[in-house]
Amino acid sequence: MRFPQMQLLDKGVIKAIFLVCLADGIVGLSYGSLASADGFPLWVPLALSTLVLAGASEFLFIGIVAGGGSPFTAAAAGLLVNARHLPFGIAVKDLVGTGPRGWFGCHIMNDESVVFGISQPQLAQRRSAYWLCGIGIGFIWPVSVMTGAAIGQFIPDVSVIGLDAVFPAILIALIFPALRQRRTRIPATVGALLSLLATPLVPAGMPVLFSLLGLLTWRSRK
Amino acid sequence: MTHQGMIIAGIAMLAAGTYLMRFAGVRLGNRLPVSERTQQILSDAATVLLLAVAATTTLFEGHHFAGVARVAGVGFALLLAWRRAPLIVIILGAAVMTALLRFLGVS
Repeated sequence: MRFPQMQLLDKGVIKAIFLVCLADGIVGLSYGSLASADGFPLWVPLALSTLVLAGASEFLFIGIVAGGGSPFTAAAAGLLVNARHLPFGIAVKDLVGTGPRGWFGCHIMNDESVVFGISQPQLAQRRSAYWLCGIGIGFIWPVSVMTGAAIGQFIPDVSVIGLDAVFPAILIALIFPALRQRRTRIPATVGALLSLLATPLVPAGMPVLFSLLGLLTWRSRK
Repeated sequence: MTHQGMIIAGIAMLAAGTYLMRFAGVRLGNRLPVSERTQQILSDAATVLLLAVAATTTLFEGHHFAGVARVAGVGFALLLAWRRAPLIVIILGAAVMTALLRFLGVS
């Protein structure tokens, strides 16, 4: 397996990827301990964090099942939250690789790996950033979730250290240069407003898909 | 089916479905025409989605307002990004601003 070289990446980008993995690790600790506090055996968070590898849908699954809902309802709700991976896949098709490596490359697709990937200037750097972030999270997420589940009682409160603000902040920081172009800014702003309007009204996951309607305002302009 | 069996089936459904969507996106992308215009739209589509993820997770926790502290933290990050601050500064700035506000009692 040929791994895209890390030295192609800007030092700041590598540090930022490290920080994002660290933040994901802390969220994972909290998620693992919550799952065990809810009475789930260890294999549930283990299976979810390795096989699904998409945090928001895992929280939702655990939450619905813990609340007495059917695991099938929970899976359907989780799939709706994960539906954005289909358009993400289209956007990062050149970054995931081909053949067996590509199969794994698909699995490490998430908000963070996609945003680090698409925000780099050259193809080689885009690949490196996508893979570095994807593998980093793909490793730290299950490990931290299991650690949290094993420790159990100790539930770190991610809100005290402001971690909930970190994830939207990193997304905005990385797409900001693209938003300086009118061509991208107009559909993105319209899309974000649509999804905000939809959020109180529709199930989790759908508002984000509504944002794609913003592309109707897309024009080929600078 | 036992409850444990249903949980296993639910996890399998979520895992297989999620992987399938990731995989289908990539396959679909490889089949779409390669005109420059299409490529631009597709790359902008990802940006549109990511901004929507950022906006909804900033303002909402579930169906409810996420609170002033988080919004202020992300707003501060936005300001830092606009002033072209380094990534690390933006990430830490958002966390510190939100944590500080909560420490001061602003939720």
